[in-house]
Amino acid sequence: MAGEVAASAGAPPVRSAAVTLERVGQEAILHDRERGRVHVVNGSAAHLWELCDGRATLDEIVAAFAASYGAPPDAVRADVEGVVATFRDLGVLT
Amino acid sequence: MLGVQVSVAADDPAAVELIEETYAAFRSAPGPADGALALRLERKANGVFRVSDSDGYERSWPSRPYAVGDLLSRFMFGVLARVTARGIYAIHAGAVEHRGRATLFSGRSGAGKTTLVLNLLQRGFRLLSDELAVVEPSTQRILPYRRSLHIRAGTPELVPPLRLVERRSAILVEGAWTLTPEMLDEVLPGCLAPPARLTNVLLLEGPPVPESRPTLTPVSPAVAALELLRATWAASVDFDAGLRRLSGLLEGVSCARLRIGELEETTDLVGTWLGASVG
Repeated sequence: MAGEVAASAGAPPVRSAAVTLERVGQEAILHDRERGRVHVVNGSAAHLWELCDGRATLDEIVAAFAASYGAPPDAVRADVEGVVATFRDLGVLT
Repeated sequence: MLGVQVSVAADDPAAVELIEETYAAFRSAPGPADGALALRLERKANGVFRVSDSDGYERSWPSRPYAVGDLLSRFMFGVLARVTARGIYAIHAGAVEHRGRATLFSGRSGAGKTTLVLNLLQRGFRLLSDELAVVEPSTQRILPYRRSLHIRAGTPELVPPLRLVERRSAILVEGAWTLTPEMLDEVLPGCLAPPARLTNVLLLEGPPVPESRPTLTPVSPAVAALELLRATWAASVDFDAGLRRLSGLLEGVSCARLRIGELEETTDLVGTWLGASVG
């Protein structure tokens, strides 16, 4: 069981197929058709969700996200990990 | 109406008069029957009122006011279903224009849309609609929708010019009456607007509280889009398509929540927020 949890936590995050993203101004709306929920997120969180293509590892996502904002990866790592965890809790990432 | 042929048959003269006066601006000679909507209101021998339409809807009501209200709802739903299928987009909201800029007012029935809209018309704004904001897909402009306004008892006391035409109108229920676009233009000349680009959205919160100060709180277009979706018939058919259209419509639009308080103070607040010089 512990091995399964570790493997799951290390797997590349992937956008839920039941979720669509629509940008509105500086923000975006994630619509989860499966759960019938919507989430309003800021532009950075929307960009992060889009980076989660199921191929990029968390380290690669951190690097890509940091590069987008001209920041060192270590400066954004904690925030990225926190948002990815929240997105997984919400079910918009698997 | 919006390219939809609608016919209404009723054996109740009051209901016919109400429909005719509510949709007077759309009256035309009969056209092609394709996609037409036919509504019927009948009084049955047992005293109940039956509303039916050509989409297969049928419901009985114990009294006339409920049946007439249902008839008006079916009228609206039937038209919206047809215009949505043609790519025209409609939001259940009031809309006014000022200097080429359109503002939407979204709120539940009784939230004060019509009274606020009428007061803005007295200050130089022009009417696009008090009920349905019709979006032109190619330009994202709000088109005029000239259904007659339904005026509640007490509103003429707040908007005095209405007293001049109050007695010439069809009576709805509970003292409410209809105000045709022609009558409105008579008491507030030049108040009917041409199409205008959407620049502002106001989400009305709760019923008006006349003895309190109004409040206006900015919200993001994303939050406004979600609120407007609830007022958009097409979203109940295809939520994602509705969201996509509203997202495009609200790009660059200023949005806020408004709690209506004392009417003049509320109108001042809205005018200031819109950056309009209202007098």
